[in-house]
Amino acid sequence: MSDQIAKGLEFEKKAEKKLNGWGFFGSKYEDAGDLYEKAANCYKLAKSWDQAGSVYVKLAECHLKMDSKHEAANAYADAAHSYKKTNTKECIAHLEQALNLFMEIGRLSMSARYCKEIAELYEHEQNLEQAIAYYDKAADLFQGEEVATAANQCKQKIAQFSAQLEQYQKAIEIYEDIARQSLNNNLLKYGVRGHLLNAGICQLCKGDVVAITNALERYQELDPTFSGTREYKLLEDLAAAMDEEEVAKFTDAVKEFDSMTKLDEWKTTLLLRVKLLLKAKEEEDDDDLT
Amino acid sequence: MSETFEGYERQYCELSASLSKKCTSASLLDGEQKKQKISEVKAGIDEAESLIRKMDIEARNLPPNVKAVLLAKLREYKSDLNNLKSEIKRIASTNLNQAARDELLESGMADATAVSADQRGRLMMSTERLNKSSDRVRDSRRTMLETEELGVSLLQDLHQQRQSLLHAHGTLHGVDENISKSKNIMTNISRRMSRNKWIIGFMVAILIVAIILILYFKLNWTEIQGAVDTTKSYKNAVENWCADVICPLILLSQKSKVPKSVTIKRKMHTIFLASCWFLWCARTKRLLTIDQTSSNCVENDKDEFVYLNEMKGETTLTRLWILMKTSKKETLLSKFSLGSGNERKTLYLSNSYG
Repeated sequence: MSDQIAKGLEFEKKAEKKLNGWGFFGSKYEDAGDLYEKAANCYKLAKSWDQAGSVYVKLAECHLKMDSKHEAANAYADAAHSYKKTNTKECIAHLEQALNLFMEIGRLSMSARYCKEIAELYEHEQNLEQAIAYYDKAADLFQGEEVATAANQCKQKIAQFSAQLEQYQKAIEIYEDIARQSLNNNLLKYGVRGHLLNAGICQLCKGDVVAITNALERYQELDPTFSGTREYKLLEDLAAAMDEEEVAKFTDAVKEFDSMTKLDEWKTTLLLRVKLLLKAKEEEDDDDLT
Repeated sequence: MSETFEGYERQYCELSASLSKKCTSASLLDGEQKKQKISEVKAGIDEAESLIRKMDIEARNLPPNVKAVLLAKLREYKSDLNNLKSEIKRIASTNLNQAARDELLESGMADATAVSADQRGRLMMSTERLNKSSDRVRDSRRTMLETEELGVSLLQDLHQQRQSLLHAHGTLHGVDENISKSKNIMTNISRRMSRNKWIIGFMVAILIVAIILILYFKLNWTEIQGAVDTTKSYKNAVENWCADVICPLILLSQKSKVPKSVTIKRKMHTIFLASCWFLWCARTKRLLTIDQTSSNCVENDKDEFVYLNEMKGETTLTRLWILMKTSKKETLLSKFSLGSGNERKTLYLSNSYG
């Protein structure tokens, strides 16, 4: 839509003229800001995201000069959304700016939301460490705002990534914590099994058999119904397999569980690691024996 | 004629009775026998229908008095026949379904019946069936677990939404408070605004009144002040024809500048001032005349005379002294009066000698 682009250019030029000229004090920035907004709308309609993003950035600067930080932060967020489609780095930079402004104003919930967005972008790019850092920040902010569910979600992601990065202890703690919190809640208590299973798998990855049995007992205490579940059975079997260092048994147990409910990617990766660990141990033992 | 009719009637009654009996028996029976019965009943119904038609024709040919009775009977038989027909139809329809199902399932039964002879085959079949059922049970369990997982995630979403709703509820309460606060502030602002407006208006009014008063008084005073100043300035001047002329002129010019409302007062002032001047001038003139007379007296004495030219600042006393020196007449002293000496014009004393 070239006419939209033309309109957008026109608005932008008008706005710049206003800024350069000396309108009577006070209305100069507001008028320029309005014109910038219209220009950005035209660019968005014309689907030229880069131009829209740049105009939004200029709009944000106008607002900053007018000392309306809230508006500026919103403008930065809009710029970031426009850039999301094309250029991720710029997007992240602008989201960070928006984040800081919101924190200054005191709107922690909005800043937490944007923090989560940044973390998701990093996750998409497979930059797990940065993602963990931002999820951590977001979880803290959410915790501050007493929005426990969102905080828990962020923490879950953190645990996932840290387990992938082999920071098992952290992941275990987080999962157990979430499980404990969810127990009391009527709505969430059915999800406790899943969390405990994740925690158990992380324990397995650590490779310490005694710890696993202790952990299982602990989980039993936490949730009385846990022992009757398939998850518990699986964990028990896997622990036994590890103890006896039998790969076949391990595979059998996993297969049995898989037949009922498909294991997701994360679980498969971790269980594969455990299996390799087990195999390595077995080979080690074989070597020792031979 | 009625005999044929009666004959037909008897046949029909027998037929309908047998048909109804067959109907009931057919509903009880199943399968092939039922079909046979139904076909028999259908044949019977056709026969009954033809009988009724014949009876109808007979009845129409008979004389009218009997006709009516016979027609009524005929109608009864027709309705009876219709009932039979509908009943047969019902039985036939159920029979059809049954027949179709039997035909469909006939083949399976045939196989089963074929294999059932073999023991081993039977056992295998049963195990197969058991496996199938266990598979089905496992599948159902799997679906149940998937549903459970879905349910768990739904519950989590619900929990989150509940939290956000509660948060929004709290925020709205805050908004409510803020709005009432801002309402108070707005009313305060409007009150202050109106108060300021009133104050400013009042001050403007006061200032305008003050300006008017000041202008009024200022103009009155300037007129008076002007006249007083001029008299002071000219009081110290020597008797002067110019002064005599100038002063009234000034007064008149001033008079022209003043508005009409004050002219009466002005006139009074001018008259007063004019009279002052004339008196002053008169005094100065008398002095002049006195001096002139003194010079005449001295002339008459024919004694020595001294020329006295323009003497500025000399008092009459000094003149007197001079005169006394020249003349011996003491009586002149009494006639002289003192006057101020400044800026006097020349007194000429003619020299008797000259």
